[in-house]
Amino acid sequence: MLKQFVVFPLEDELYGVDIHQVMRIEKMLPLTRVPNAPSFVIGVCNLRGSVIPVIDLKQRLTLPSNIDENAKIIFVHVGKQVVGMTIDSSVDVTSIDSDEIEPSPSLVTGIDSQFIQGVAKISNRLLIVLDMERVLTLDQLNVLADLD
Amino acid sequence: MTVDNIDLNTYLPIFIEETKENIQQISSNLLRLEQDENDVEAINEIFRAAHTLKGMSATMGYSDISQLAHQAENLLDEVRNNKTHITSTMITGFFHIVDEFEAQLNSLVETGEPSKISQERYQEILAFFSPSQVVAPLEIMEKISETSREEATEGECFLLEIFFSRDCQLPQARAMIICNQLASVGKLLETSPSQKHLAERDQLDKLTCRVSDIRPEQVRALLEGGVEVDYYTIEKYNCDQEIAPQVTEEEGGFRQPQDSTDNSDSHHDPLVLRHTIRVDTEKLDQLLNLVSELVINKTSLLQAATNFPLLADGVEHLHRLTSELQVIVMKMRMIPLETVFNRFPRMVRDTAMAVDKLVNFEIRGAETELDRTIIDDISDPLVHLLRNAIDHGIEAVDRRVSIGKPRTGTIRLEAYQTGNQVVIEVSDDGHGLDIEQIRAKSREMGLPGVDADAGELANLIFTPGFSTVESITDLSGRGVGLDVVKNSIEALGGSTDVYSRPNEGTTFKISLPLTLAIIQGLLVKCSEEIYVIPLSYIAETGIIFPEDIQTIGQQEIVMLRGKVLPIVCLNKLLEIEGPGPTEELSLVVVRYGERQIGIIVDDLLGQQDIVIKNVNWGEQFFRSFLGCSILGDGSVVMILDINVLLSVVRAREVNHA
Repeated sequence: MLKQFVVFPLEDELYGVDIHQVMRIEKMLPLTRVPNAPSFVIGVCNLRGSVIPVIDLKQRLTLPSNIDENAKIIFVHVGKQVVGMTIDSSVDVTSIDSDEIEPSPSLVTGIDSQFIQGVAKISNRLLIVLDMERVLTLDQLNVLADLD
Repeated sequence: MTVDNIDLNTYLPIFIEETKENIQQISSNLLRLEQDENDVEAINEIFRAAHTLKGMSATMGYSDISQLAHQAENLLDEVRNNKTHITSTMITGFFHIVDEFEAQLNSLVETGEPSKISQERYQEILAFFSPSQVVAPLEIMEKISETSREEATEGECFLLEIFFSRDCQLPQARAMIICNQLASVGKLLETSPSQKHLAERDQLDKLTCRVSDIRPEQVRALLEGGVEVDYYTIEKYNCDQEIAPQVTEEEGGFRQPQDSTDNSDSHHDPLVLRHTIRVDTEKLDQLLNLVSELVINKTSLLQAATNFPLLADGVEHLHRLTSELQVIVMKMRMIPLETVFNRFPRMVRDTAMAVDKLVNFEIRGAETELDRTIIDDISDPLVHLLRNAIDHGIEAVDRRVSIGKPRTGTIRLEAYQTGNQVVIEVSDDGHGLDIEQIRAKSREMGLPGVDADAGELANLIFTPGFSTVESITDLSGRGVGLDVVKNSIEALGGSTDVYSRPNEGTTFKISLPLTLAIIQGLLVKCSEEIYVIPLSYIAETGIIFPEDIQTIGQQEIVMLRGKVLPIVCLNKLLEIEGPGPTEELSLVVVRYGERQIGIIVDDLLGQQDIVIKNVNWGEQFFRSFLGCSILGDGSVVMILDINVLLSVVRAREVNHA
């Protein structure tokens, strides 16, 4: 079965998100800082009348972070939750047969394997399919709410 | 004392409206039953509707309708108990009953009286059912008139307390009828609430009467024949005594007397029916969202129009229209507190009985309205407070007697609106909080403010794990403490407070915002960032200078009119980058319960309508804030949570202590 993925590069790797989970892709929007939130929560933005938190995806995946003016925000939804994630500029859509996605996260990549749903090869490059639920799950995070 | 003629016409529109719904309910379920004769749910629905109809029409004194409903109810009961099975003939019979209800209702709307159901018509309807199913006619009204006036015992006085069941329809009207009937049998000396006030009440759970020249059996016959009286007590009474002071009413302050009820002698006013429809709350939420968007857009237009005088009139008009629309949408979402309060009298009664205490429960201001999202969540905290009041507040009967208090304790649940807030108070006339015990306990727990005054100390009982009660009862004291109450109220944007006087009682005060959706807020600026302070918390604003700020321990304070005001500097607290304030500082004084703190900001930008928006991911990162909002220019701002700021101040005081 063919599945479509929104594909974007981060650092040296290609990452993919199931297209059904992607709501919109926008140029960088004005953000409002959220005081006392962990640093990967870079702010909140106004997406057509809704207030949506935006996270720095690279920081979340423990990659070196640098957001430049070409950055885009990809809005994904998991269940009822909507979150924006900053990514580097270019974005593509690719179809992959689901059989070609290897569930094995044994391949060594730069990011924490818990975020990886699987990997696939497209035109001699490795595509890391992200598990959005894991990326957006916060239970293991230390919440820094200490105002002092 | 003459008995005022009851004007049941006050209740006629409600009766008609509800009866229409009940008839509709019956016929749609009959249709279901026709499809599937074993549809138990449909039978139950019809039964319920018929039961309600019976009760309401009996209350209104329409014996023909109630008798027919009684008949229908009984027939259905047979079916429910599997004594008989639904046949198509029976269904047709039920439809005839529905037709008759409709005919009665039409006549009621047109003439103000239901028409009499002829004996032939009655027999015609009953012919659809087998004779064994038909029961003897209801005899409520007859029974009462038979017992009237004979053999009254002179000079004897009785105190009668009548409790209405929770599902009693129009208890006020029921109470009036009881008053009239009592007056026709014996002598009605006094009632509480007074008969004049009965009509103005929205809610009634108890009627207290002093009657004389009557025999208890007569009272019994009168009350037991009727429906929807939960239970009643009757005791002999010294005629010279007044009804105990705690039950005499001091009505009036909370409800405006309605002018329209005064001209009740113009009897056949054409009925003004209020048409109501039921709307899916989701649709209301959508409407509110749209209005919120409109409010945001209006604000941006208002800003833009300041540069274009030509637009001013149009925009001003839009401003007014939007405000009106906003008010209406808000009102649509408001429901009276009685929907929650109604279940309490029974609960209080049961709880009091369980702990063997005598409690007189009063409810005031049940008509006060609140946003339905808030109403849904206040029931549990109120139950908690009421149980506390019964279990810990009110003393045992012998203890009360020994210190000269009335045997029966009083618990009052009172709601009223002040400005943008609704206040709900739960008060008892028990022994009050033991301030010294609280002081000892807080010392033991290492809490700050041991030296504080009684008012501050009392509020320590909201601290998690705080309980001065040694014994654990079934009802309270199991560690689920007042902090849970406080938390749930704060989650609704409200605040809690407690006042207590030794041996006079304790009052818990809950303040809640009228609505959670749109509030008035003051925009403040810190460096380049803008924040919102909810206007309802703001006591005053002013200007101070850096040299006014002093430091006590870790806490910065300013002296405001001779009082110490702890302050928080928003720049530091929220780690806002920038030069920070220079020579003039803006001070916003906010109050939270009994406490006041000052917030130092760079600049005040003015007040406006703030539509509260919540994020649906990562709520824990937003805990320091009440929510977010979108300004007219599309930018997002954060709304400060005063309670969080206060906890910062408290934490500093702990460190200092």
